[in-house]
Amino acid sequence: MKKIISALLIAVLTLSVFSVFAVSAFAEGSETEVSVSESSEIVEEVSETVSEVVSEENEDGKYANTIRSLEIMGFGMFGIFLVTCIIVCVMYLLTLLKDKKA
Amino acid sequence: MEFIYENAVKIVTEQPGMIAMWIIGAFLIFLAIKFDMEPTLLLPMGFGAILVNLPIAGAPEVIETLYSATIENELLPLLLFIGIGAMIDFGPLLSNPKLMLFGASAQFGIFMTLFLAALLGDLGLFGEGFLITDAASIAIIGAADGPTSIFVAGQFGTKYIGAIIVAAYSYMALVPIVQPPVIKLLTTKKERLIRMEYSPKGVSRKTRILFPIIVTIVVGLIAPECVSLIGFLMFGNLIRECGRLDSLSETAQKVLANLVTLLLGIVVAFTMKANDFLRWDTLIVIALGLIAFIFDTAGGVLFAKFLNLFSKKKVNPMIGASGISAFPMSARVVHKMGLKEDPQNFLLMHSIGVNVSGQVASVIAGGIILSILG
Repeated sequence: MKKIISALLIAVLTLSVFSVFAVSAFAEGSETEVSVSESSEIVEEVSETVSEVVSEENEDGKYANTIRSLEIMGFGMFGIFLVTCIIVCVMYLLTLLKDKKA
Repeated sequence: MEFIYENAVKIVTEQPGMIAMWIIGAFLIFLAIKFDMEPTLLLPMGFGAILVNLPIAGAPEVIETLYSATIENELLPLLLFIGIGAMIDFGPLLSNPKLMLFGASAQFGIFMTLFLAALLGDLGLFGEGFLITDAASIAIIGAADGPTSIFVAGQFGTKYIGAIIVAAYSYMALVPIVQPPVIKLLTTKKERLIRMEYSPKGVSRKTRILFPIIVTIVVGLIAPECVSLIGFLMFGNLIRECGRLDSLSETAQKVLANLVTLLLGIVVAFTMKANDFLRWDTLIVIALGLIAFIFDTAGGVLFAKFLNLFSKKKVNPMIGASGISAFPMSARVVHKMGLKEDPQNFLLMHSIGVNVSGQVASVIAGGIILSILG
């Protein structure tokens, strides 16, 4: 039971952080419209700040790939941990299964 | 005789790069035979490099046909994954699922290399620089997994695919040389001496059968770009674990894996034509591959150290290094390092668990990069 609760907690926490991160990670330079959930003002503020910083740094487009790679790094590492956490939860749940005794 | 003489003169004067490729090919064959470095791949690749760099020969056309029929559509890497899946025992991982997190952290090198490759390109230190898709293809060398590297590089259609494959397989063979110094640099003697008890919990057959099916579904829903890779890997594992297809499992592990590897090596050599391969950026690709392996190792070790800050039951941080995939060399390296520090410290089962998790995590990393840039 303890395992199930901790597994579910990990999943919920991960997904909630992911939703905030995903928006900010995809905030690209001035040309990209930032899509945010209307219900979350905090997320909106974070996204706008990231967008402004990126567009200032990227005015001449010289470091466009570098900035993109940093976004991919952030989103990618988070994505891997998200999928991994879900798989860990699945594994904990699966280990509860026992074979019938012969 | 005149014909031979004319050909020789033509090569020396017009295409000296071909001679350089013969030397590179011979060097790969030498490494495979003399030092037993990934001989199943480096030997066919070395021979193929010579084969495709001969003037007025018919072989390159045949290899090109095979290349477009098996590599461009990612057929061979996927088939190889069935064999790999059939070889992997997820038991140690299933008996301690949190080891999976080390596999995830050890993919850090991929993203660090992506950043460095992009930065190098943007700084304009050489030629045209790298496109972001080229940088991503190079970075995936850090997956330490040949089929994933080929798959991702093939999807992006990068011109560096030859160098990427050579680097990926060469560094996998060099894991025993690359990893120990990084591990030692990042750990103290006291940390390397941490003992980890192995108390295997019985993993039920139901668990072993459901695991590949559910992981395929989960990954397919979250990172659909890598579902073919993870799907074929898990299909191979299901054949192994179902208990009804022993002969198919054996065939996948031995015959299929060997046959695909044999073809893969020689067909990949098509990308090693002198004009495409002998460029300064090839050296940069190979250097970046080394950086990817170093940062992968560092990522795994540092994550283990980070977990130790909060955990009562300490883990030996060396096992984090096994998360780079490179199955099973990396696990063996960590096990041997543990034994060297303390002859009674057996880390093999833990490092194997982390190692197979790295196999899965590297595929997920490839899929995520494809999802973002594809």
